[in-house]
Amino acid sequence: MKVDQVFETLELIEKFRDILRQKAPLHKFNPEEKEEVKQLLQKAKETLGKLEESI
Amino acid sequence: MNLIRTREECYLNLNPLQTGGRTNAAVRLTATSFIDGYSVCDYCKGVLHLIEKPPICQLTKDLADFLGMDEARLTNGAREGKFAVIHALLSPGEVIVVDSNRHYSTYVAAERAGVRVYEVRNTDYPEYEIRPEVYRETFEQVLKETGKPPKLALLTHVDGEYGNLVNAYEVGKICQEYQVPFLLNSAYTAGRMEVKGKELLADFVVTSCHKGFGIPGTIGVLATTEKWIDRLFRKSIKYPKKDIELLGCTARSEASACLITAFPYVKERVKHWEEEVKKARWLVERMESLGEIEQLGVRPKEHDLIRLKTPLFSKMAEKERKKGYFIYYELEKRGITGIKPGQTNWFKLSTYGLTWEQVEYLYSAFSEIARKA
Repeated sequence: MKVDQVFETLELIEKFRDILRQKAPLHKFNPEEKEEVKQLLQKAKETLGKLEESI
Repeated sequence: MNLIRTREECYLNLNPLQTGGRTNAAVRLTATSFIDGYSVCDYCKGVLHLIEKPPICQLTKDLADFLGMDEARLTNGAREGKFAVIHALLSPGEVIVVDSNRHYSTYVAAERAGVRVYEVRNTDYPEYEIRPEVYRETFEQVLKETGKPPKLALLTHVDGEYGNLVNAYEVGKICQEYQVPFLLNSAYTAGRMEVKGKELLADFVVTSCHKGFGIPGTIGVLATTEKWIDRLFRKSIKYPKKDIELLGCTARSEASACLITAFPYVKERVKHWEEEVKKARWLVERMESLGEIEQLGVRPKEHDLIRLKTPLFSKMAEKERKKGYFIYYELEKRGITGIKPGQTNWFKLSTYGLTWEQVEYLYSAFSEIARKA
């Protein structure tokens, strides 16, 4: 199992938290921001997938 | 039970105590990986400030440079730094002079050391300003009443009640004139704006990194000049690497590691201080335009901590079912928090770190509430 990928996923989630903080309290995203968030979450999913495969 | 705090993600948090300590993603990642007790002690070198992995040794050197001083140590916070200086320099019964806008922990640190406190009065309503020349008057009073100058003078660079920035250099000049060592408490300034202790004629600088460096706590810095290193950082006879005034090692946790991660961001963010001041001034101007709202403290604002006297809201509160709690709940409904519940006559808030979009939203929320009057 690759522990690095645990932290890689956590980092992506923390980056998402940063976005939530910057857009609080309404969390209204413009199209560019929406795309950024989607890419971030997609990358997190991929990293989790790799982690799952490595077990 | 999952104990979760979502205040920073779900609300605009205006609590002045907390805005400068908000973390970023990189810092939180470091915090997670160093969360276990004594995590920075994997490669112990006998004392915290000598640890090379993680590079706490380099960090303490960098912090001394960042604060414009010769030598620094990590502490558990500004108050611990203040106590260390007072304890190192004064014997019980001797006199310290402090500004009257000081934090309560300044007074408590002096009490713990058993020293006598003389206060530099502020100018009272509406500015509550600490004027440097009043240090001279207070020194003269100490001389008259005790026959000796004080053993130490402390200045709160920016206070936590009014957000007043004091001219530390002018205080430093008066301290030099009377040969009184000068301790600068930069808890509300270092990490937000540039603070160079020696340029301000300070002999000691303390700060709080969970207040101003965007990291979890508790952690602070105590820095001094060449002249005072041996006295302030004197070592134990039995444990020669341990600083007595610090009780050996201080922040033995994720906070030290987080400070390493945060440091480049902090060096960068102090360059944008003027923008933070602009946000505070913009909000004050708009809030006062609502009528029956007055900014207290020195004008124009030179800091993000804003204290507002708000008769407009206290009058409204009289008619509201929630009385004094009404403003708190009205803000909460709009996703804004950090103002003390039950207070409508005045309140404190901080705009530090908010985006312009958030500052504008904040004003629109207050404006909407005011229109109900």
